[in-house]
Amino acid sequence: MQNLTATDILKNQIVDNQKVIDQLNADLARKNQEVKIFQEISTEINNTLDLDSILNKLLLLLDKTFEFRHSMVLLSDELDEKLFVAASHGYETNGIGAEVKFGEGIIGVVAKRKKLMRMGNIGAQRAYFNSVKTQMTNAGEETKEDLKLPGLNNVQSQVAIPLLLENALIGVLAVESEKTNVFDSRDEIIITILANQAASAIDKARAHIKLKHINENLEHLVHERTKEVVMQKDIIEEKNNDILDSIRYAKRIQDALLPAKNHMEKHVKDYFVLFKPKDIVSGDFYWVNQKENKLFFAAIDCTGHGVPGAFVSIVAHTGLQRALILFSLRTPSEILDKLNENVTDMFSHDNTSTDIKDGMDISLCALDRDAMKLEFAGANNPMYLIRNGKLTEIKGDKQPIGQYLSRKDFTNHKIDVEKGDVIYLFTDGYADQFGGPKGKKFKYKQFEEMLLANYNLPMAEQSKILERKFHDWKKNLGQVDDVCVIGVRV
Amino acid sequence: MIKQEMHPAMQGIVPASLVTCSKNGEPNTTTISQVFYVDDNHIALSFQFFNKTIRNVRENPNASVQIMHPATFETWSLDIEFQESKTEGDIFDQMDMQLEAIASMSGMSGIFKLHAADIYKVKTVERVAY
Repeated sequence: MQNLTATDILKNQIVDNQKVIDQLNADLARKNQEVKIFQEISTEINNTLDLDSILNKLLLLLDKTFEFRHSMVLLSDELDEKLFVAASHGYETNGIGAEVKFGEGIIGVVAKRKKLMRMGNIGAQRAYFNSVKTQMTNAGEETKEDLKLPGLNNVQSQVAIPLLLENALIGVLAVESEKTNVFDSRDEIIITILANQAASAIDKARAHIKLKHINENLEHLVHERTKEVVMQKDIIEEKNNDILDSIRYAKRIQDALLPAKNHMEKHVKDYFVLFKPKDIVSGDFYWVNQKENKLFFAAIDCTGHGVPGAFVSIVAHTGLQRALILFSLRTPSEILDKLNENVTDMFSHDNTSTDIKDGMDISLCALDRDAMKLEFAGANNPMYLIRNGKLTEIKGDKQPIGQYLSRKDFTNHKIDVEKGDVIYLFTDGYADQFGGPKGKKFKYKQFEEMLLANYNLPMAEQSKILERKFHDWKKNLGQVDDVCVIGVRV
Repeated sequence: MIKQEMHPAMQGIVPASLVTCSKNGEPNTTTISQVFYVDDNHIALSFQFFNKTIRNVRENPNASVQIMHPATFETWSLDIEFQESKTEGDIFDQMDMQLEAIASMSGMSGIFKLHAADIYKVKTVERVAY
């Protein structure tokens, strides 16, 4: 009997244990299933960056997998302490945009306290409050209307969960039912897990939207900047054109100061001029004048080039004309002395300023073809005379026209010339040009050799050779300075 | 003590009956809207305003409460003993939030205030047969 009872007890124990094991297995299977569903949902909602789509997916999945028929997500506006419905599922009207203030109703209180809430007796609780309210109204106390809140009218059960990210409220996920007490603590856990997923997905989507805005803004900014730059470029181009126009006009004036071709042909006769300004207007120029039996010709290199050089060239031109016509000077050295006086005067208005170095280098000849006499005076620059294959250099004085400390009178050189002699005047632009195979200066030695090799050729041809040589030497390098070479055959 | 199957009886769907007794032995019975589950050995009752119940349990901590399952109408009688009055913590927050939520829905925010969550130890649970 005792043995039998013990066996029975044992049997019953085994049956009981089996029940527990079955229960545990069932729980495990359910848990596994839940984990699988969570993973699927998590993947699904994290795979999208579109906020509306994330929320709608979440609510749909809550219905499909857990049979939560009515649900909504409200996003928070923490500054204004209110929420608005961003997505809903299972309602006759979607109610998108409906507002809930913090502290109002279950959702509002959840948002305010950042704590989840689960109720299964909302109807009963409300009935209790309403009876108190009726009593208060009957007692003549002032009472307020019931709140209109989004969701089911006859809600009995609700779970509302704050969507939090690092303790900041993003929104509230609410699930509700018209039946009492339908959500248990397990549902609470399920919804909590999904709410956390949703919170991070929402955050990701928002970050994406923000990034997109920033990008768009940047693009807009780049567009604006480009527009601005293009506008500035247009302005600069316009100004540049204005400046170029006035420089071109200045060139016309400068050209007008150069001796006319027919004047040259009449007086200089057998000659060439190679004149190549670096810019539109030039600091170099040449000057020719015939007075009585003397032909005056000069190559002038004013300091600088371009516009400033051109300004000085006007001064130089005026000075030469004055010396020749107003002062009736006929000796090159005297003309240079007068020119120097003139230029120095002109540039020394501001006596305190010692660093005005504006002036010019010049080689000036006076050729008397009747007497076969040549006079020369030079400021820094020389002249060449080639006769019978021999080049003679006659150096100018080592001083410029313009401010100079140890100034002395210019030297006047007198030379007898013969028919066929060729005289060359030039500025430093040709010999100083960089180029050739090593990018070096052309130099005077090569310049002299070139003149010697070609002096017998017709003047026009010599000019062409000089020009071509210059071009070949310079190649792709920029022109360094203005170039002026004058050749005159006696 | 408190089994899983009793939880639905503690959701405040069917009101509960609470019996207390003054130090002089004068009993008092009242209906309360909800008995809150704290853990398997504790329940909480809300203390909204001072009344006989509140006074009694502070004189004589022993009390009894009857709860009913809203679907099966199973009923349990719990012998309980008042332990402490909590004004913060999870259970207080839970009760306070419910009060605030429902009051606000009825347009009565600020009228009801939860003074405390009174915590009772559950001494015995007895299923009542009707």
